[in-house]
Amino acid sequence: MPNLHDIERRINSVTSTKQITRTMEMVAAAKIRRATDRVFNALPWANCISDMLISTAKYAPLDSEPLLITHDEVKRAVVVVVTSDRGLAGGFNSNVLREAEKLIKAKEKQGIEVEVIACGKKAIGYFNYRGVKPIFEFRDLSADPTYEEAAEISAYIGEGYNHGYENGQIDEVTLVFNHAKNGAEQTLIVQQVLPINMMSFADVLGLEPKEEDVLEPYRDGEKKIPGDVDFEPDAATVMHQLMVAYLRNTFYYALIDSAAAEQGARRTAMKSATDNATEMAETLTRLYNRVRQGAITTEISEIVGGAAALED
Amino acid sequence: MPKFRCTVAIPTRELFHGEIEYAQIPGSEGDLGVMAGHEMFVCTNRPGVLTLTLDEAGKDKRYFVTYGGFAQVLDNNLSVLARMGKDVDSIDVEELTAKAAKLREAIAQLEGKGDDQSTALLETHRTKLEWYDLQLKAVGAVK
Repeated sequence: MPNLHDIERRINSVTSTKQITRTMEMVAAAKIRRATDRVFNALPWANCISDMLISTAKYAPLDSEPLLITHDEVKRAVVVVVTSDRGLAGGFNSNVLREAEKLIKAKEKQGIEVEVIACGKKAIGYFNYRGVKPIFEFRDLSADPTYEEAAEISAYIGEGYNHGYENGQIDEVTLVFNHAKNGAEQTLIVQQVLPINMMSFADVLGLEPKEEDVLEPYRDGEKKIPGDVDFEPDAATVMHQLMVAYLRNTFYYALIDSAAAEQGARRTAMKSATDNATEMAETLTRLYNRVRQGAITTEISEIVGGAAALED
Repeated sequence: MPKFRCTVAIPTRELFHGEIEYAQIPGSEGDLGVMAGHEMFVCTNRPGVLTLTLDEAGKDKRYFVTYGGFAQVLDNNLSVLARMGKDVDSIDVEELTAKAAKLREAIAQLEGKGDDQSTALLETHRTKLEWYDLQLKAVGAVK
């Protein structure tokens, strides 16, 4: 039987842990709002650029666009892994990392050389520990990702200092991140970024269409664009620049989406931790009372026993 | 004159959404004027000032300084998507001058290093500095 002092110490410890987890839950809940607002604000640009790309693609010479060409043989691939800087978010990071490692192993088995770009301290630590040195590391940005970070990733793999996709040095780029489906649910997305697949942005992430989506009938082919569309300077240049912008946006959206998902995951994890702590504190209090009652009963029976012995 | 719908957005947010009378866009090959019923086009933009006229008399104007990006007219809808953009009225000259000076120092420090990540960072810093200078120039031009 544990003694009263030990149980009391454990109750105190569980209660103070509960206080911390409850505070973290509330902090995450407040941060979710800011993170989802950021995703919401980024939507007009994201939707517009993908619509523009699709409507331009109908007129531009696609076979000469370097970012659209699928390389015949995949020799070198890049996997961009987006995780958080901090833990205590349930399976948020481990899901992404497990999937990324599976993907890397599968590619290496096919004889493809794989490079990793790690966003978030958790990914950096995980890969470095396993002897995989990420070619790019981004830390302290998982809660507030910047467009510049996305531009850097995209510059490296797309336009890339003589070793990017456009120069045929990288043959495939995959992005692994958590998508914030809603405040409480996250879905793991493994998205092929390059070669670019011509799916509308909303379709990839399963987003609700905008209320007044004037371009939708054109996309679906219901309405034909009357006459020609003018391009300045020319269709190929516009198409290429749109592709680059689209690529940057894909990374930016993944980063902010993952930031929103992180807060959602943390809130869920901290909520269940708080619930568990409450339950544990209740059980321990019950045990404490039982032990205390037991001690009192023993004491009384000892007194009564002693008195009875004196009477005799 | 009939009005038409216009959206100005940057990757992080929407800067303007509403009905306008006339737009002057800094296209890569020269300025473009857009009114209702303009033929369809897609163009790349150069860094410059985008002017939106909201009323027929031309008194209610909005100025946005934009860096790169695209403009598209499709079915009487104008979308201007800039890489970076700001309402000229919201530019704080003093703050911006200080930021630009700090950035120049950071660039000078990075210039010696040759690794991939530093090169990428240097590129980002240079673009940012260009953007700050553009804003300062735009404030002088508009005000």
